[in-house]
Amino acid sequence: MDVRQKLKRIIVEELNLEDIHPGDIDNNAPLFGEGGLGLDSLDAVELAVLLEKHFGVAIKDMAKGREVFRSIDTLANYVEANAVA
Amino acid sequence: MSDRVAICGMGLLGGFGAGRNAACRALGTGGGPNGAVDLGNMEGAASLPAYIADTTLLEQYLNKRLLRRVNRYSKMALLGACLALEDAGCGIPVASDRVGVIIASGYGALSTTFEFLDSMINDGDALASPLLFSNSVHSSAASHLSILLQISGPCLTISQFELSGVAALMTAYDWLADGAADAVLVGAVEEVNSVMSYCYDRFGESTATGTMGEGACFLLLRRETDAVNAQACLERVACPEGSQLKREPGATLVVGDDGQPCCADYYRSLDPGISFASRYGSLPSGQIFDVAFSVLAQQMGIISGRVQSIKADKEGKWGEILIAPRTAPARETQFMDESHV
Repeated sequence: MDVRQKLKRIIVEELNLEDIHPGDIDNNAPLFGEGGLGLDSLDAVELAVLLEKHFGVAIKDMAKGREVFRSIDTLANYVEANAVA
Repeated sequence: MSDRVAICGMGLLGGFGAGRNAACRALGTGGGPNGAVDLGNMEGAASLPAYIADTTLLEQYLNKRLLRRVNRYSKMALLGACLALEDAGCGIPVASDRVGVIIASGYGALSTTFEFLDSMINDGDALASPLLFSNSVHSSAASHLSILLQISGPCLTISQFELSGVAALMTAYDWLADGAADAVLVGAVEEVNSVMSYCYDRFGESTATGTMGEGACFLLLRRETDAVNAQACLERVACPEGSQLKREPGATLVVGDDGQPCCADYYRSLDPGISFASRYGSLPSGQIFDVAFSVLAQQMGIISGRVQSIKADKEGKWGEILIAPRTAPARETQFMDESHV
């Protein structure tokens, strides 16, 4: 499965976004705050664990995490660049 | 303050359904388990009967999106609290810092607790789910109540197994007496899951007459002197010293005998009393359910006069609650701190 599609499915299922279909998430839409999915800081902690669990990718630098967590595209780019082959 | 505390609203759900009417129907029919819980062991198919609560009604009170991180245990608590507030004629959300919350639970959020433990076992402690952890702690339901119902007074969770209910009510008494709050939402919340079902089977609990139960029962309490819509009054809430029960003259004895073998001898030593456990199942914090069912029985004319409720634990300690029926006619609801009246 494409990394973006997998990320969307994981976010919807694991963060319990019951009223959102993975296919409806725009690759460039903000994941956090108003105007996007509306995720919050507790979701961010869970998302960091989910990235490591599903892709083996850790985010150690919180400042970097802020940019990585901006959208599905930024997440996918980070995963593709850092995933263990 | 008056030494009596008024019950201004009651919200309960369990195997009997949700709300006052469902509970009244169960009082009439006698109740019984409405479902079963798998043992979840290797053999698979076996299950035990249980009283299972349905929280679907909660979406009538709170937006579904707000509930996405709320587990089933906390949903039961939220629905019980909303039903109690509605029963008292109060608005939702509450939006007051003069209202307190106390939740009594023997087991806490069982399903989430074991899901979290499973995530540690399966993925290692570094990858244990933060969301599962935050919902697994006993105080999670009280936190969700406080946030979603905008109740910013004192907030507490008490876990003292069979004495959880009486301990919560004693604390509410103190808060009202001290002026820490003008109203207190006190609720019992328990949840069943496959681990409990397995334990009932494996460790012999199923040989008792008790049947696993889950649900929530909330009481909205005020000082009697402040209450304009009292449905009943708590005249005494205590954990007396010693094992000898002093029977209250003229009061109907309601015993918290929910079939747990560890407490059976104590209940057998008492005068015959009424048990409401067949309506809600076996619950450590069931004494709050007993209070609510006693008030409903008083209102329906099934019990006349006062009720003396007793719940014992396996160490021989026991809690006592004396419930007086409403003596004055109900008046229009008035609630909240002065700024909301």
